Amino acid sequence: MSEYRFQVNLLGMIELLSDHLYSSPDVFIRELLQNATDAISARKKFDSEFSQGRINIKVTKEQAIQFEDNGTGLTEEEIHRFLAVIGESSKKDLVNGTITSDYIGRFGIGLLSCFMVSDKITVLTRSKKEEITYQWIGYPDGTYEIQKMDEQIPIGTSIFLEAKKGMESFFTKEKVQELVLYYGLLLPFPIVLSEEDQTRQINPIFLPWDGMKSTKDEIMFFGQMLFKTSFFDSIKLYSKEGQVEGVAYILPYKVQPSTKQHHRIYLKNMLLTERGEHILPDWAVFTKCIINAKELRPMASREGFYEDDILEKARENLGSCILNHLIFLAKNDKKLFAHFLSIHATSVKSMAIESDELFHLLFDYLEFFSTKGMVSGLSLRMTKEVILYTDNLEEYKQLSQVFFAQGKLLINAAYVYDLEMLEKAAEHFGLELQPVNSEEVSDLLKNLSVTDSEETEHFLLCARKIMKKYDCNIEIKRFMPANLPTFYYYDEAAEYYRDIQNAKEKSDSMFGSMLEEFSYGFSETMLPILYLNYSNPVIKKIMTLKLDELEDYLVILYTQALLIGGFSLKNNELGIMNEKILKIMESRMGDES
Amino acid sequence: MTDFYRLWQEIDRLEHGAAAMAAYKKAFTLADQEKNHYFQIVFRYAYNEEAVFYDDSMMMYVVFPEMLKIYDEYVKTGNMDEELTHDILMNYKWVLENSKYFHQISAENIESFLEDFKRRCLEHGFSLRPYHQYRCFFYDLIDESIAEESYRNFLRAERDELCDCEACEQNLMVFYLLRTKKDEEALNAAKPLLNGTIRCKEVPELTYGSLLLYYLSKDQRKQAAGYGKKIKNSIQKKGIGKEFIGSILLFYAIDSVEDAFSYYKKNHMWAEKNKNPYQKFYFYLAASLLWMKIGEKETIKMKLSKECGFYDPTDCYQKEQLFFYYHEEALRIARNFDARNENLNFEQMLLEILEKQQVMNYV
Repeated sequence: MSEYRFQVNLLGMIELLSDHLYSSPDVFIRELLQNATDAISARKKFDSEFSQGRINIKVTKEQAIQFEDNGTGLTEEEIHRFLAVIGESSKKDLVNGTITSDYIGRFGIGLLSCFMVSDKITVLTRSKKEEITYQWIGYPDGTYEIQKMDEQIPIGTSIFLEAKKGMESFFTKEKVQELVLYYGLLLPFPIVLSEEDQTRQINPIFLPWDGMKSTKDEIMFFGQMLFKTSFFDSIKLYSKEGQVEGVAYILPYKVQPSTKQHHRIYLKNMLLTERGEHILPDWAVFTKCIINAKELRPMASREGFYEDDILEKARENLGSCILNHLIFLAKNDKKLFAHFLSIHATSVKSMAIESDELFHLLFDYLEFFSTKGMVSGLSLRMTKEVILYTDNLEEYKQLSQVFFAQGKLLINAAYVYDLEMLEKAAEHFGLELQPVNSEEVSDLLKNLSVTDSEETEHFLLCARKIMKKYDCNIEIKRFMPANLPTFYYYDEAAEYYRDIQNAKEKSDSMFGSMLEEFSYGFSETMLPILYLNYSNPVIKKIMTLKLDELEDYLVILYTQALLIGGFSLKNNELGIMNEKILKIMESRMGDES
Repeated sequence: MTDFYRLWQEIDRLEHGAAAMAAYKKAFTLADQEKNHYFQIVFRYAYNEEAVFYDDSMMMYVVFPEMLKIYDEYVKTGNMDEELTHDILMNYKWVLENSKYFHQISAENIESFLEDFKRRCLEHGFSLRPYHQYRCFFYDLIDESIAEESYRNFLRAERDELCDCEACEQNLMVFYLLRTKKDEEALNAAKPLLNGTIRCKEVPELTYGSLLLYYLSKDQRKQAAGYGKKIKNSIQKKGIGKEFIGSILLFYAIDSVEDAFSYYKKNHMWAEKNKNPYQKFYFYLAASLLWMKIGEKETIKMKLSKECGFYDPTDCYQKEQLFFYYHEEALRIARNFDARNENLNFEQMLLEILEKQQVMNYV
């Protein structure tokens, strides 16, 4: 059997990288910065006399860039090995083939990105290991040349690029400065940019969150400059796992819990992505952060980190930093904390569900929507009564007017996390919590006196008989407000039953038998109830009608209650209501004429 | 005339689940009243999406038949909208995917849904890949040879825009390979999901659930615990993976009675309110095992929700009474599934787990 080797077409490879791996040609600056940073790290590691790394970038009028570092430099063997073999990274340990965590690059393809903007890469390099300067020139067709230079350069590497046609815009001083700051803002050594006779350092060389160097105001200003937002507050972040440091900024406006925040993520001081996700716990949607990680594993696309145990632990630690800060605020700056809650209550509730400590701290400050207006956690905690709630918005809407008119408390727990918070409060503070059900609703609706009951008994029987075909039960009660003639109420089970009956009417045979099975086990006791208000004059008049007129009025009241409550009408209901209204109108007009 | 686009935008801002479902229900009722066919379908689709992914998938079965009828009538009048066709078929996929979990839906019903779906896919030029996928998924409970044949057809069929995303398909493969005891292949297939190379809104969270049950069946408790923790986190933080609450309780009931007791108290109402019998079954099975193993105490003191069917205001419950309730319910559901599937798998699984206090097979 013969053995063959794959042939790699370098031009095709460059096309592949630019089309699929790199999002834009400007990443060549990132790759150059990255290689320089790794070279400086390598020199620091092996050269005890070396103190300060430095990158000098020179932009010339001829649309060329010289990119120079004082890192470790390359020997001739290393040039052949690392500049000419794709996939071979200089950061690999030559003995065991692994990459130490000091380096950023790891894939051995970085320099190729320069071919996206230049047709020739010229490298001048001198290693600390041998006092010889080499010049290497590479071309996109896969050829390269190498020669020893007579003139020695200082230890380090210089890379020369000339703009290829169409790429001139990447070779201006402004663009280079913008890209260097974009990718290398956090690099811990000077980056000096020069053009003609102008030379200046363009980066700060310490991290804003580093030790005691920055005040809170400076950190806030840094965030404002970076994200173009005036934040509410800032929180320093640290995780031993993954060696992650940074700052989380609290957004000054409300965000939906489902929002995905994009964070600015640096890997060993180099920008990895400004659209990073999954670095903070999902509940921390109210923050935007900048972090620098030293020991998290980047994906080849550089859009984030691999999901592994270290990332998971780091995420947990960063989450703890945010939690601890909020706990500190709650204890020490109640005014600021209350303001924070007014903006981010939803997110905080989701956190409090997870953290008992935070829950105890903040429950009193939270507010719940109720028939007595917004009630605070504190007032709920102080109440001795059973707290009724519903987690169904429709049910709340149905019941609220009756509860409100009678000064009774009903909490709307339909909003996100409210129910979980109430349940947790019941567990921790012994709150008597109870979902509203038909019994409580009946309690609000007063029974008739014995005499009234006797007088209405015949009417009630007739009304029930009429409304049975509409899958609706009838009760007569007295309730406030008196101007409310009816009150249509159904609980979850009744709603479900009604929906299935409705669907059965409207579906074909293929689904009919399935729906029949789904309705199995439901009985008449689960029917919705139309309560007629005996305190209402219209209802009293209806009770005096003859049987043949009664159905018309009852059906109108019933469908009106459905429409007001926003319930879906079954196939025939709207038509029947129209028919009844027309009938009454015709009869009234007939009387008048 | 209602500005339905604006209404749609407003609802879209709501929190997923019950709140959004209530709003979409109102919206399609409004569209029904105005006979706006497009929004009658679109809002029902959105409602069903919420039901399937964030609330109670049973509600989809109540709404879908009418949605399909509205669409068919709309098409009969000469209207053909690619977007609506896509919505209908996508929703049909959810119907097929969830049908196996409801014993109320007969095998004949499911077979007729599958055939109707296939006809519609062919009519609109879509690949039959999802048809084979769900056929495999359903027959996996009933007839291994049909499931295997469907699985092979699924792999062979072309992918198109109606298919599940790559991550969901890969997750299904993991599930099926574990079910057919191709463990090594399954674990290899799970790798890109677990290391984040392939992911989506629900995956790898759902893969964690499959692996929890797999490692439980191998009695590798440490690994099972790891996946249990991950799926618990996902339920708590993203609301994804609630279908595994019963499996998590089962793990605890086998591994640690204390943890199971605590988890039971937090989730018993989820099980009571749940309309999905498959999910209920696992919870009830696990709860039976918990009360079986709880120890010598005859009376259990705990605060349960007043909505609970066997709520006692004294907060004291007889151990035997609890076991009886959950065991009876689990057995009733198991027999319903077995009657539908024409085998005894559910009842046997229940007996076996309670007898050996261990999961013997990947389920």
